[in-house]
Amino acid sequence: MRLPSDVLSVFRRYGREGGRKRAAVMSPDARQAVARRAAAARWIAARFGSPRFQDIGLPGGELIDQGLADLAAGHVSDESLLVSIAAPRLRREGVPTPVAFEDPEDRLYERMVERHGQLAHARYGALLRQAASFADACRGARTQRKRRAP
Amino acid sequence: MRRRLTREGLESLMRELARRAPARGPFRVYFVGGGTAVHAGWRESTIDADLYSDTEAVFRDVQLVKEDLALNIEFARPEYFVPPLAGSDRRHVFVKTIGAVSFYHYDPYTQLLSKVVRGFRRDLDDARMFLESGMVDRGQFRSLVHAIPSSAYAKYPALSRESVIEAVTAFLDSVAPS
Repeated sequence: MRLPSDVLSVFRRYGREGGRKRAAVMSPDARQAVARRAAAARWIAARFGSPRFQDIGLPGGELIDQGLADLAAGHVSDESLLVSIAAPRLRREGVPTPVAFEDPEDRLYERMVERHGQLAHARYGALLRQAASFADACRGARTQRKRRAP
Repeated sequence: MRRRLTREGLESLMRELARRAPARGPFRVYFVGGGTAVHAGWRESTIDADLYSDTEAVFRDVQLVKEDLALNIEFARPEYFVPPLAGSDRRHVFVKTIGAVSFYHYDPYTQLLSKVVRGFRRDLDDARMFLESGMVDRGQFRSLVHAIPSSAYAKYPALSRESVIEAVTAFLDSVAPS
């Protein structure tokens, strides 16, 4: 359902005010993280038609969305390490990954060992395969979008 | 916890595989990916060893080998992920023979293609080393990739000829000729 334009404009105004108030109480680092994530979302939306890969339905899209958000916030997680591992490939497919963690392969594997013990290798391999599938599908999604464009 | 595979670990793995292989040989075992990088000295260690053999009987007791040496082992060959390059069978690089088992690095050109196509950070580091070490000639690599027939891509729905050539060109452009 599409809301009337006057209602939307009120929502936008409240949104902007809320954003300013929220930014006022945030640390500079947190503000930078939000700005970085927003810039990435705009970039992704321009290329893929939606700011979130999960919404596009790409395999592993939720992992990459989370990884990009964590990376923008400087938060070390399985997802942000995975995005760091895949960063060069993701950039090639048009996904913005301006920052990446150092030694992401070893750090991700260590996290898998801590949590999954003998299953660490299987879980680690599964994550890498998800990132590769996502990157493969990204290209298709971009291509289809290009073809649909007038 | 399983150990990372170092050069020493790789030597132990070769000895154990040879010891446990069926007596009636000969067999060939190929290193793919991390195994090649570690054996060539490009990296101190790898999280796992990717192995391939055209005679699977050689891996009769691979579970025991894996547990005894506390290593991660995967079975994989580059052609699971990328189309085959012409003449791949003639380019495997001999490492050594122990008992009935001969060890090889899987065709470096096919390994390189697989790494460039996946394009993760460590893949690209290894990919540069294939060129810098002289294991792969950039001109021949480019020719081989361009010579892959379009029909070969039919088995790889995630790949297109255009995307593979684009990735290879970008990679070669990023590595200055020595």
